[in-house]
Amino acid sequence: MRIRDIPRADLDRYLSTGGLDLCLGPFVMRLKLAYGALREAFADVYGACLAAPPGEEITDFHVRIDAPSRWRHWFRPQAIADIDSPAPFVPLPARLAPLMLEQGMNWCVATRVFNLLTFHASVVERGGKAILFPGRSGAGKSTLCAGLAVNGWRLFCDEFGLLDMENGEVRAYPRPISLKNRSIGLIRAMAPAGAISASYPDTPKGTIAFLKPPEQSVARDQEPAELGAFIVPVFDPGEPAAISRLSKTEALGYMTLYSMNYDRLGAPAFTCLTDLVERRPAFALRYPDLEVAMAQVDDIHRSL
Amino acid sequence: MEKIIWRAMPRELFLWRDWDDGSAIYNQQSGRTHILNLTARIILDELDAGPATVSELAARFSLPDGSSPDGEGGPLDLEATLADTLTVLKKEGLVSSCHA
Amino acid sequence: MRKGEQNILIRALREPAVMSGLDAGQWSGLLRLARLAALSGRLDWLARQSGVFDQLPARVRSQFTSARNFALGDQRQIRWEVRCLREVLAPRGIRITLLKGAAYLLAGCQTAHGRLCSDVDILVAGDDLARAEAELVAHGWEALKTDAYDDHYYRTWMHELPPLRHRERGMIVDIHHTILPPTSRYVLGGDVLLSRARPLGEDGLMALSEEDMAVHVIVHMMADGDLVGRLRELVDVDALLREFGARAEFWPRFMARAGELGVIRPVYYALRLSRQLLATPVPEAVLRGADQARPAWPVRVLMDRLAPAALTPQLPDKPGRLAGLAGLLLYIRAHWLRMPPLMLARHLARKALRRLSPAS
Repeated sequence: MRIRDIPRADLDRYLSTGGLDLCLGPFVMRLKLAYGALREAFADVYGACLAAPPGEEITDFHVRIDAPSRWRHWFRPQAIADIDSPAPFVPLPARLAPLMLEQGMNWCVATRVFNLLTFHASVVERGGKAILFPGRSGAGKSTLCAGLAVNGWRLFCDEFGLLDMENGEVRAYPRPISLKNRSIGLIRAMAPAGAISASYPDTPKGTIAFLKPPEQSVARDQEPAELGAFIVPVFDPGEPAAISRLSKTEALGYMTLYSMNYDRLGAPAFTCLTDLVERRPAFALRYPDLEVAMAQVDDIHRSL
Repeated sequence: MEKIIWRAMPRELFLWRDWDDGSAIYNQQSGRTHILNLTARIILDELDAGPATVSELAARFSLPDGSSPDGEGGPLDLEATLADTLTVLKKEGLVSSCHA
Repeated sequence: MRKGEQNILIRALREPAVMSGLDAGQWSGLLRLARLAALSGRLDWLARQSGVFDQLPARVRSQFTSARNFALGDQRQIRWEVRCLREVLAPRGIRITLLKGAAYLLAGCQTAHGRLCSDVDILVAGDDLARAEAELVAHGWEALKTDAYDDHYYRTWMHELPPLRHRERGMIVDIHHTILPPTSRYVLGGDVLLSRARPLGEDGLMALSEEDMAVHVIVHMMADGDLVGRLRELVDVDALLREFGARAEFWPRFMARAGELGVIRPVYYALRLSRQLLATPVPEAVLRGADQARPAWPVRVLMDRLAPAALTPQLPDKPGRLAGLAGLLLYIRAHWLRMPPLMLARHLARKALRRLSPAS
């Protein structure tokens, strides 16, 4: 059932007691959210996504957001993620609990998935071809991904590239995109009304807001796609735009650098990645602003 | 001066891709991936044909008139370049060495 | 989750075929328990061995494949690390006897399948200890940072040097010269075990004899006393006994060795637990022999009650009250087994102080 179609009282009950299973992309995550404001924010941002009460689906991961101790639930309330095993989360003020939820879910995917080859990357798709932008968050990648997602591209994922090693296909996992400071206004101007969540000021990285995963992207979250190209984005306001083609060794270098589980996976990962690097072009894209970048990505996509 | 004989590790240990600008090599035992430029690849190819000392390798690379190929700044000190590269390749587990 | 399902992991380990009939709720619980107990890879292997893997739901097969790939990565790393250690130590005449996970893997034991193992444990002769440490430090290993107290604790009271970590690879090696700290009730002297060690085919690489491998894991599991979270070790006990015990001549050797080493009491406990929870086939004669070492009835009843409860894995949301209590009682017993009471008090106080001070 879509989260927005679950009666609010039921949703609250699930999330605050036995949990709610969020079914998005390859993963089913059982969520337990302790704060009312957090549950509301979750319902708003994840409204288009599918969810089920416990017992209907097989759960991949468990994420609980609560105060670090009973004391901290009431006195200067804080929120931290509990994912069953130790993780380097730093408690946040309770008003920023939605950020902690994203962190908790990201950590599960980043550290526990070994049946897919995983990357720190943004992925979008159009016309059956996915474009993968390797790189960590911050430095413009998310803004570019969000811009594309609201301009005709299907959002696969802003945080992770997920590759099936057997057939080289990319899997979709359209979670909300975290936007910072200036990017919020930039994307809001391009996006339909209501596409962006409330803002969260005074975070360690400034003001943050979330682009809700677009309807179509969520509706098609079980549809993989062939990888069309790799693009390494470099945001550089001072310089004109430039596209350069990466050699195969350069492409492999970038991809292994940004893979989360390549080292552990070994031979099948090497074979999958070298196959892709041989068959698909890789580019470095230096861009001064979002509009230019989006146009360049269009050009590259057209040439595939 | 001591003679050191260099030899390439057996190819069966690796998964290997050769490209225009270098090679990608996966060591199945160590699990490490190496991305080599053309110089390193050529050296490995040569050693694959047979173990050699640095001098012997340099001789294989010499041009028909007996001179050394040029580097970016002029005639290479070929033996020094080869020795340095081989040291790095040994550290990476791609070649081994022993005393003659 | 219903009370019976708290044991769903143990049921699946004992009888892999049950996995073909679980519903979504049971799977969610089982997958979670297995991850918490570090037994996901084991379940995957059992599912494949017993032929039920292909019948399992797609999501389970993905999870199991993920666990399998993770374990394979560990195994590759361990083999390579053992090779690197051998390359340094063997030419210098220092023979390495592998212990635990690395031993199971390189000796080809069944229990290595799907097993996670991130460190290498080795036993060297007492005479070689200092030299082994020196050679490794000279070839890229470094001691893990410890403060002077921990360093002293490790060297003087524990059975190992402080662990060494390879600077580049990051893999940790524990070098032992006895198996259990000299201060514990059970002492397995390194030289005693080394006298029966068997070569593993490569020059300079050894493993303990089959009896000693079984005794080692049993004594480690029981003598430490803190049974919480030790289901993985019980799985090792069960798998080793099944594999070695398939040959009848193993059992008398095993019991004789246990008697020789003075460890029939922990063997008694381990056989009981393994039979009870994992249905390990143990010959009657062996059980009778072990029974002679059973403790007085109050202790026996307490252990009978506490040990299975402590071993039974718990879901974080619903820890059984008994399990928590069982764990605590056994933990206190554990440290008491390890160190004289005065030392214990001092050590616990020091650990508590460290927890209170700001994290570094």
